[in-house]
Amino acid sequence: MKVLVDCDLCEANALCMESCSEVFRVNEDDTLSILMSEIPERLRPQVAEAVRLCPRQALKIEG
Amino acid sequence: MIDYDPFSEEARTNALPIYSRLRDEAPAYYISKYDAWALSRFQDIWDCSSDPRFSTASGTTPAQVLTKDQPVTPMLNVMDPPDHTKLRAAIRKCFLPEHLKALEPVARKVFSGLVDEVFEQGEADLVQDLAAKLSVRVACLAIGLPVEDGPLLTDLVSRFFAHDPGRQGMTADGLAALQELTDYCVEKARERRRTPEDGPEALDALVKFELSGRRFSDDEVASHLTMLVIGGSETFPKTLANGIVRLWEHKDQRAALVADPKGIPAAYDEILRYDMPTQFLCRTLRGDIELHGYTLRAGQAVLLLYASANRDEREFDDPDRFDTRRGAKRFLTFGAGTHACLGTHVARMEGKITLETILSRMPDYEVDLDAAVRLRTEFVQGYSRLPIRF
Repeated sequence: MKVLVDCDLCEANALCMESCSEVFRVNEDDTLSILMSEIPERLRPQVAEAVRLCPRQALKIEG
Repeated sequence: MIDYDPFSEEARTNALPIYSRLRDEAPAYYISKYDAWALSRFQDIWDCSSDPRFSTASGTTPAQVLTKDQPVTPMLNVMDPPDHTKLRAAIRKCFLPEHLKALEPVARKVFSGLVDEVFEQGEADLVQDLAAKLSVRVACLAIGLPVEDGPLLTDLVSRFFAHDPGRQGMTADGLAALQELTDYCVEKARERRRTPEDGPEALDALVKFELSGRRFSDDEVASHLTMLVIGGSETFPKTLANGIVRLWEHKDQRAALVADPKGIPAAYDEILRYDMPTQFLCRTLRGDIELHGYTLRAGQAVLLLYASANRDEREFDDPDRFDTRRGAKRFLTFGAGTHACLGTHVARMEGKITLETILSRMPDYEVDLDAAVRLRTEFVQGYSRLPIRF
């Protein structure tokens, strides 16, 4: 499973980081880092929650 | 049969019962008078917020889309992607957390100063004396306008939102105020072009921005600026006033926040959810969509009833209960998706510093609801005056 972020949309609301800090990190300069290119299946519920909560609707799960 | 008209007395003064019926009985409700559909459920509004078929190019306010008495001039919120995405990315820096780190202590000092001015007299108008003065100054700082123009801008924006009880839509004076605000912004755009600065403020970004190799004219920059001034100064005071009333009504919850101010950001989120001033914004369909057994056709208007969505029992447990510890992670006060409020972080910062200051300096304040004045239009509802004693 991968997670895709649309950087043109992301505005550092950081709800994804609250949902799953293993995968998402909002940096000091308001950009978002995805910390794993391939995300283990065990994290699917948290990542799905991050996608569901993002107010900019900037995240998507692939696979 | 439900009879919902956003301009009706009922919708302007006591909308929640009719929103509840719309959600249950007619989640896609057709209003023939405006050839418009009203969406009232949380998930429907959330889902259409990034759907490219829901365009803002014909405007977003009821005065633009329904009564059509407000002109649609170039503003970020009436652009669709991809142009919208490019402009938003260019001007948003000054509204994001990194830049606000420097702005927060300034805002805190400004607000403390405003409280100092009224503290000895033991009473104040929360909206006019405190919240409105703060939000317009913060808006000026973020956008790049002179802070000393705050009072002028507050006055223009409040005239823009004035409502004539006997008439739908905007007042002649409201349109005149919008023109005066536009003229002011043209002047500021010209000045900034003559002496450009390299700041993160929106005004700098707007005068430099190029779309397909072309810069904005002064009139275009001004139109974009008016939206930022209106959005930055108008809604925060109404939201804070609602929160001040709710915390006064729920004194146990207020006392808990006085004892533990760490709960203030979550409490402010609940204040945002519970009573949002902007009842709805509009879209115009670019393609047909199927929803709840109806076909919503290209060209028809759609009302996104955010204030209804925030009380949707399909999304929130016991939605009519005010609970500062609710911890709801998503709500629609700032919209969502493509046009989600650009000032989200600014609004939350203002909510945090004002509640921290009020709850530490006047923890037992009383509200004089009988002397409060409410603005009740189809579009924006909330206190325009809220006397408090402390």
